[in-house]
Amino acid sequence: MAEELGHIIHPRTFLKVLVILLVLTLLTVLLSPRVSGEMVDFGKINIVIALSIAIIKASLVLSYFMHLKFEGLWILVYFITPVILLLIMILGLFIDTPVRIDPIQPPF
Amino acid sequence: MASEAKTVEAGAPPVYHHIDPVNAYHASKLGMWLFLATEILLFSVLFSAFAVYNWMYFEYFHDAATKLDWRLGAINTAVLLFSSYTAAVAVYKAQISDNRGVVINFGISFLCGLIFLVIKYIEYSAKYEHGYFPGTSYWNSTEFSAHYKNYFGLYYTMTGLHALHVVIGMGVLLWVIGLARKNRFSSRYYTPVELGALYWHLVDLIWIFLFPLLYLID
Repeated sequence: MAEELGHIIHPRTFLKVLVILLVLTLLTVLLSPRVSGEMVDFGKINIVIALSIAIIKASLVLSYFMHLKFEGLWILVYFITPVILLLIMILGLFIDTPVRIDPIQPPF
Repeated sequence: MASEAKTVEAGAPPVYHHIDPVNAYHASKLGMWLFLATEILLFSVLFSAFAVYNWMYFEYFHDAATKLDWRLGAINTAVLLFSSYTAAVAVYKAQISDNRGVVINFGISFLCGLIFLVIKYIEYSAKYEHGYFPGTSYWNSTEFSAHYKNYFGLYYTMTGLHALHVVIGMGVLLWVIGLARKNRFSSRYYTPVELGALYWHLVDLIWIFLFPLLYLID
């Protein structure tokens, strides 16, 4: 039977993706002020850097390991819908929380 | 049952009455992605709670997070990434009708899941010894601020729910390994291998976000 059920990705590609993922993990560890003892510290941008690397890693896992890059429209719709809902919720919280609640300062 | 016994050709797709095997494959995969969508929403609630509490109790969270060992978290990240890689290779092996390859690669993923849980156990028991665990005397004392409890409460809920997914995923892997040992899969039928791998990748995906948020962010 010549017809393929799903898209076939060769393990060589998976190995490349794994290496990139491990390098990105190392990068996110090295860029953390907690690990470097504040030698590397970008202040408020730390969280942006860490989450950007996490999003790149997640996209790699989704596109290649989970074959999402080669799937049809419907599976993309099924995946993107909860992501949009998640973004709405997070954005709503980021707009709402800072104007209503002040951070609680510790006594120390 | 003897009269019911029929010889199933190895690697042949199951016989359905109203749907042909190719449609069944695509329908199953769509259903799996719908399930993964609900899983993403389940965890997004916890991530949202973390975002709000991290804003409200930033100094406390900053302080409490230093109590975690980022080395163990980093090792666990690498273990899960590698297990995801072998799970992806297992799907390829099924696609080329190599049942033995499925057993070996899913077996490695299963072992990685076990290593992950052992490291998680070491982390949890270290927390217990230091008294950062609910029910210990330090946790119950007035010295231990309620705001630290917010952090550790979220930490145990998020990593605990994730660990539960690891355990369930290991069960799924074991079930698929059992089927592969009976040579059930071929290029014509490998739905359980692909769906099992998708679930395992989701476990990896969630940890990719949990690791920097809980262990690294200052």
